[in-house]
Amino acid sequence: MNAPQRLLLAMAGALAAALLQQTWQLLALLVVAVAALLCVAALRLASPGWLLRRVALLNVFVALVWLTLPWQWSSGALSWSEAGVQAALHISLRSNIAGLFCIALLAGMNAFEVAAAAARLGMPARLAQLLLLTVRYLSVLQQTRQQVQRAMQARGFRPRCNWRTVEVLSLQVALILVHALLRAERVAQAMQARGLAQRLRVPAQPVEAPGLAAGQEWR
Amino acid sequence: MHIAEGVLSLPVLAGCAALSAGCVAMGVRRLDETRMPLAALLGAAFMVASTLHMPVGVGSVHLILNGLAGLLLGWAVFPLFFVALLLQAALFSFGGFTVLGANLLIMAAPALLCHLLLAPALRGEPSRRRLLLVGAGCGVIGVGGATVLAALLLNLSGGSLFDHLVGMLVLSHAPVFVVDALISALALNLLWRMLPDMTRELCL
Repeated sequence: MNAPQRLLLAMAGALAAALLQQTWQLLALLVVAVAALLCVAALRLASPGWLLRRVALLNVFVALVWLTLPWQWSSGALSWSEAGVQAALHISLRSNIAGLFCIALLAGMNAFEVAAAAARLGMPARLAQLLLLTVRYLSVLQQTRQQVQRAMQARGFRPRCNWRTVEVLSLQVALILVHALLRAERVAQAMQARGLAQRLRVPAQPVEAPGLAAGQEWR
Repeated sequence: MHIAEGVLSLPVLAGCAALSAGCVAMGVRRLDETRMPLAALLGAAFMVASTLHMPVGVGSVHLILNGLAGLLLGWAVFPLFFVALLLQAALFSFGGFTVLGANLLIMAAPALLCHLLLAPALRGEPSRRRLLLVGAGCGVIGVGGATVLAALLLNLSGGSLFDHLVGMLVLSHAPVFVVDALISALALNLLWRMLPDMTRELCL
């Protein structure tokens, strides 16, 4: 299976989970999703540790749902509500189906492969271009962030819950943005140098041009 | 802030998907090709900046900064947050493919509101106080608006069944709200002082 097909299947799995309404249908689909995950683990497309971590992370939210949804305050006492249990069951099934399909099918793909796959699935050309450019600059700015962070650590900064941390974090945010803006300026200059940028724009209002008005004396 | 897969009802999912698809199309149409690298760089910068953490109590709070992104990017936040949410759904299973529209609306609609409401306040030579106020406003409208929208969508989907979930959502975002407002305020002020011309051009 190639990357766009894998992404399409993962999306179809999530859509199916959202569309199915009966508990037995969701359970059947969950079995398929678990089978897909086991296949990936058996084929060694991703390390078991990584797969387990992803599945556990997915189920943190499910645990929170079970802690809140089935309980109800009625006349000062906690009670168990049937509708809440039903809803919690469906939410856990749906998020596990969608999550497991996504984890199994996209295992081992990096951001660039995901972006390229999405771009080939009929995304509008300019949105696809924006997606690929964003992924391309993501690693650049990640490096910038690490540089800034290391420089601050070297000066003995350790994040705590105080005003100093707020100041330093906002400085980090501003520095990352400054790096991005300066790089954008360089890119714009490079594009201009190659004649790509700054197409002529037609002015919205008629421009007064003295030289042109002189022609009227002729008539 | 992400709503997980499987929580919202079908009509809500479909409505949000349609609405945000329209907004993404609008955002892409307003983004001319020469500004594409700038938008991509800023989008990536905000994605990176939102992974910064501030320890609060036993846990830690990560920044959202959707308000500040909205102030600087305007309509382009819709395609850019779409890109970010798509990658997060595919690579980390935060959110998901069917809730992408709902999550996009939650994050980007308050961001656009920041641009429309607060950018006019920066005309001329804004004072330091005004910059700080506008930045804090971005945090308040951005995170506050996102929380309100998420609560609204949850309520539309499940009614009173989701009351506890909404309560938990609001409670867990209270520290984010404060931290995001403080950092947006200081960061906007710093950015304006470091690159006044470029920042002004972006906002207005």
